[in-house]
Amino acid sequence: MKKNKEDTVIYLYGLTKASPSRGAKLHGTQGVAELETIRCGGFDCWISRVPRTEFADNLVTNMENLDWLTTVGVAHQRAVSAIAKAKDVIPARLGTIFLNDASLCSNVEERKANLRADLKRIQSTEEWGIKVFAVAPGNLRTSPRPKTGRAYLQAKSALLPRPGSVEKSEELETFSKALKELSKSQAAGGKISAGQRHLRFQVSLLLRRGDRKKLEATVRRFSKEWRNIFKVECTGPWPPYSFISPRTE
Amino acid sequence: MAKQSPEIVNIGSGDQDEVSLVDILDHVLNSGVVIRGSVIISVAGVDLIYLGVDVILSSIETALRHIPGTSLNSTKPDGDAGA
Repeated sequence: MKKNKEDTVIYLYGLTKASPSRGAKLHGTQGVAELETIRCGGFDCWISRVPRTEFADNLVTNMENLDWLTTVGVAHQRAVSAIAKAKDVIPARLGTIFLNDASLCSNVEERKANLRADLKRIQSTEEWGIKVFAVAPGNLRTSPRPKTGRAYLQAKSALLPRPGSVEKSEELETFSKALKELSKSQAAGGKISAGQRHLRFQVSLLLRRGDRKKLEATVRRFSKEWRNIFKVECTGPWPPYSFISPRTE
Repeated sequence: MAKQSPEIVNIGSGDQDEVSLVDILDHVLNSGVVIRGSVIISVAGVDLIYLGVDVILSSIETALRHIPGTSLNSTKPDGDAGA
């Protein structure tokens, strides 16, 4: 890892409370590159040293490249999850890059009061993503084969979400209420899948680690009840990406 | 397009215990701390929109181009290269 300092920048995965061991076992884990820590402002900052051309100069272009975004997104998630397994971590959003150690440290110092509050809020919690889909009424393959282009498009349009089609139903309200009672906090689900076909309900939950079994039971109960109406997806445990206070300008 | 991420599971009523790439990107880009200052290069306010699950792989690229606020922030003039 001996690289010329000018040629590398710092890729941030997240911050944990400074600890004497610095999570030595995690050093050498692969994220987008090998994991290291830098200590500042009472935090251990989990980073990799990465090529400047790829991660700084061409970051925006690369973020628009799906192959790159996929590779880095998965590597980022793996690394943050590995850290989260060992400690409470404030996850960084994918693509948070610093020019050098000093720029990272001065920014952590500047924001340390907020960061401490964030860390306290997410202590012993994990994030779960919930999505509820209407069970598809059928698809183009199983429907009678459309005879004209117009019929095909009509059939296809029937499968697409209608504007404002995230209708409120009693069932969803009940589910939403049950989830609210279980979780410490809730946030809007991710925007990438917000328009997914047949998606009727989406939310991110901040759950106390000990409450996972309760969540599983609730999801199972509603899944069973809704077998022919809705499909429930519940993914996790994610590091608490959606529960970090937004940056202040 | 399913990418199995270790540790992450799907405990819903789907047939497969599978976490999709869409889910990963949903979370890693949803929020997370973006520490920002005068010397940081970071992707600020990237706001992705969903264009359909089967076309997403070719669409984020286009989507990003049309979203304001996707910019580099750096005091170094060359930090803006590629923006």
